[in-house]
Amino acid sequence: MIALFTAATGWLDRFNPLQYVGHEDYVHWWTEAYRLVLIGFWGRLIAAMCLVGAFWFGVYRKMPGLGIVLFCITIAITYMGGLVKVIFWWTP
Amino acid sequence: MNYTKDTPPKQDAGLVVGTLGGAEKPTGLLTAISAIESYAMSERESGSVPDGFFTTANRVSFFAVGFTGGFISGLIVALLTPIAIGVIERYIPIFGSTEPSLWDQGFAFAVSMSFSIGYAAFISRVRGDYVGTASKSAINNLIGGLATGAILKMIIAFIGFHFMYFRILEPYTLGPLLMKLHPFIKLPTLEIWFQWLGEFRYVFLISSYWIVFTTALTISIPIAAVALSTRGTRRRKKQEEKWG
Repeated sequence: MIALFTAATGWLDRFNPLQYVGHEDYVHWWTEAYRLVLIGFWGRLIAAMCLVGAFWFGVYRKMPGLGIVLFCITIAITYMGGLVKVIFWWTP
Repeated sequence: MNYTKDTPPKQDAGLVVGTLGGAEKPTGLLTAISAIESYAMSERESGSVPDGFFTTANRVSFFAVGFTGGFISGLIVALLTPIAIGVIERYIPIFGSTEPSLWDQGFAFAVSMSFSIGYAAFISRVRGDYVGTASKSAINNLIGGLATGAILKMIIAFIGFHFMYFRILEPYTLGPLLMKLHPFIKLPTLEIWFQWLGEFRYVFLISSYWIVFTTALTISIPIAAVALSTRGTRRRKKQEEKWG
């Protein structure tokens, strides 16, 4: 039983990203992803495109489901940057 | 004719007849708009239906669909408005920055208002179907419901935001409230929260009046769309009569 459990947890280790990249690189990747998607020019561009897309699909093309999904993505990109900053980098 | 539960809907003069007589009752916005499109198409082909065809139950069901949509979309706006004003007042970061540019400020407002405006614009798409007795009655009730829901939301948000400003975030109430969190959260953190929330409470006051403006805008979009479309149709008919 213990051998089975050890084998299972050994198998789970394959899902650990730190098996493949170093801690520094991993943090760097996520920081870059944050910088690219949630803040700066690209964040603003993606959010604006999603908002326009929400109106285009939701109202003009009569696809309200897709419109609502794009609207939710817009909100996530717009405000998630600040939220992520508060969660990971805020200190009292 | 007495329709039972198992009797399938029947076509009558081009209109779909529901199980209880009259027109089919909508269950959501999409079915309501589809029903309006179908009434309008039938009425364009075969003329207006008799007044009694669109029953009270039909009117109420269209009103309920509009009301639910107006209320829920309004609540989303009510939730996003203090955030947008918080961005402009530099309390809430947008795109990770607490120094918003003019674009960021405009975008925050656009995001906060877009759901309600999008919903109103979606309903406005039936403006071209304002042709016969049934379609006119359905559209009037749908827009009436939207307006009622939006106004009810406005009243609730207005009172709620004032309640936040005068009661919940008022320093004498806020202090003891935050102190209840003391066993779990450190005092310096609570002090920062106290200061931030104390300043942020003014945002609720501004939001309560901004909500009145957005509600007026939400209601006016479908009304204006139908009015403009009706005027256009009337002009076109006059022109056609003139030309024979």
